Amino acid sequence: MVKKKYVLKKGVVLRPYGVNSLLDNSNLTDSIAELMIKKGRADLSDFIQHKQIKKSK
Amino acid sequence: MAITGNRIAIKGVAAEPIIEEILFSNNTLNKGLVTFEDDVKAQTIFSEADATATMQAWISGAPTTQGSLNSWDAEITPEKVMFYQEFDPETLRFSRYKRSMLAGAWNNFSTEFERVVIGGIYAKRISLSAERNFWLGAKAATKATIAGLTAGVPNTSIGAEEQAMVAASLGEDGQFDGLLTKLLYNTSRDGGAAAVGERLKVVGATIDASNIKAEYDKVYSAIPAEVLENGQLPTIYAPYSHKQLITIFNNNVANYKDAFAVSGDSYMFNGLKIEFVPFPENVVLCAKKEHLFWVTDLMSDVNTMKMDKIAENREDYFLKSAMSIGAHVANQKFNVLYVG
Repeated sequence: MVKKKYVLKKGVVLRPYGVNSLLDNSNLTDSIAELMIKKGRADLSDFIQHKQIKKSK
Repeated sequence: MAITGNRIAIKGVAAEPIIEEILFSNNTLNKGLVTFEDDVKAQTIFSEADATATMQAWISGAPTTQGSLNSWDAEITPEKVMFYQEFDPETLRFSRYKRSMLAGAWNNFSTEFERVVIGGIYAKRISLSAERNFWLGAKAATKATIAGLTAGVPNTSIGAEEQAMVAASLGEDGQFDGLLTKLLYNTSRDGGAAAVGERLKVVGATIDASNIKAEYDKVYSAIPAEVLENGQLPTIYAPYSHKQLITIFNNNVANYKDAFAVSGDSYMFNGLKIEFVPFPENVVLCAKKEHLFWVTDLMSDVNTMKMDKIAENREDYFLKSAMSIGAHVANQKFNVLYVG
């Protein structure tokens, strides 16, 4: 299974289409997350940031 | 479900009105905002037809057939659904409702509770649920199918915004595919294969009072010209909040007022009637009423409820309401769907 790039932080949900709409980690895909960020309905800070760790050689 | 909420044992007086929650009206039903196709028990055939005519050069000999004549059917069966609750009127014996119970230990049924809570609020809730499911319903399987489609720009592809809107807003009770779902994905085509709907896709934005006219212009300009030239004009279906946004837009002295003409409770845009329905925000549909169908067995089922004792040897009651309901979209390529 491919690991999702965008995972909402605990307690964060998005309501991009009004109070009766709901996006959480159960129905949020990476493409929808990117669309929400592009449209200004979500912020990068809503998501868990995966830091890339560089290993020293 | 038992009767819930705290009730105080009545000793003095109770203020007369019971303050009811404020609910929308089922305008779709009350104002007839779509076409109601009733007397549909099961498997009703909706037929559509089109043709092409090709002019060709005259020849004296054997002519070649050109053009096409096409007629195809879609079979629609409304989903049979119900609402069911049980309650014990004994739990109301010490409350304000005891005043409307008849004398005698056998009698614990409150006519006030029946009138206000069951016949009033609960019945209204059933009607609203039917309306919301008609517009917003989606089976889990259909939602999963739409989520799995590859989003793209062409009209034959599901839009990224449409996909997000389905994930976030469609479903309600999940018993059948409602009208917005049917606009986006259906089997109502020649051959009956399931595919993305032929609706005219308009990619929208977040609508507010400052851009509402510009966004409605996008919807208006996407309407095929022949739709405006033939028969009944199409209707614009919009979320409830747009009523407020339009008023705020018109209150701005700098704005051109004739775009949104408001008279009493009638709202128009460029001569097209706007009707407010339980749509998600940033979603607008423009279609002829005769293209949108509420399919059912009997219209009045929505307003019919059975109430009785659960059994002769019991004193608790049940409430049951049954109906069949489905949605169908015809002439798909003439309906404009805006999703922001």
